[in-house]
Amino acid sequence: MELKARRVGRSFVITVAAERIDAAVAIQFKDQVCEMTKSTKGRAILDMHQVMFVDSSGLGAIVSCMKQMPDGQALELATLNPAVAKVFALTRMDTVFAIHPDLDSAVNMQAG
Amino acid sequence: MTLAQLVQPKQQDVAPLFLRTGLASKPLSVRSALLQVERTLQRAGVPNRVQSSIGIALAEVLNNIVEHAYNGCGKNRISLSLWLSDTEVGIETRDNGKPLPIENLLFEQDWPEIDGPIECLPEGGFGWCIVQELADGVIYRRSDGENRLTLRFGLGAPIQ
Repeated sequence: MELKARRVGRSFVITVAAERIDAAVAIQFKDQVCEMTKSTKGRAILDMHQVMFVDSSGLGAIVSCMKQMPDGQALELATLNPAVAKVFALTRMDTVFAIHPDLDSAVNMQAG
Repeated sequence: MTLAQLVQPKQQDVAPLFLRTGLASKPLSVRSALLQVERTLQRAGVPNRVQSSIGIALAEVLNNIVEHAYNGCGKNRISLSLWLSDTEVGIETRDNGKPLPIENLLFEQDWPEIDGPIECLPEGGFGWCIVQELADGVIYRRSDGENRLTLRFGLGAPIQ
């Protein structure tokens, strides 16, 4: 599974270059994101614009990544497609994660 | 009434089957089957809202068969049928794995608790809650060592 990491201003952005975060890739996804974020400082944003589908295994992997962020930092999400947003809404995980409508508004927002 | 009318069921009574397929009990096979279902629903003009509900719920059902009914052993088979009527989409899965625990079929299932601290957030346990929430009907039968699960999804308005 391909993840692209880059720094945009003061934010660390990880773009998920895959259409699905499902049971077939959940563990791999979690390990890769955790590896990328383990020494990050500042904001970390998961850019999901290419992701069309997340199942509960994928959701669990994203939650696990959030829990493993160093020093209790948050993992924020940007650009959830409708079917992905639906899973976050159903499980009320949309109340746990900061979810930005797009990457621009995510990186331009002052860290709270 | 002609003979043809006598032997031919009315459209509303029996919906024509429009996909029948089989898959191996592996996550990548589940993914392919879900994509096939997605394409089929798209071609049939099923509304996006219903398509996404079906995709999300069916993913949970198939993952559950792979992980729990078949214990992660990828060498087993799952069969999948889909039919469409004027008012709903029906889906049936069949497998020969372990029976589905009865608590999975209760309608008042508790969603995993998410209001605690971040380190206590649940990473699983959502699957059946999602299925119950999205499907308009869930019927389970166990017979001759086979699990048969039927999900129904209402279309809202008939497809033109």
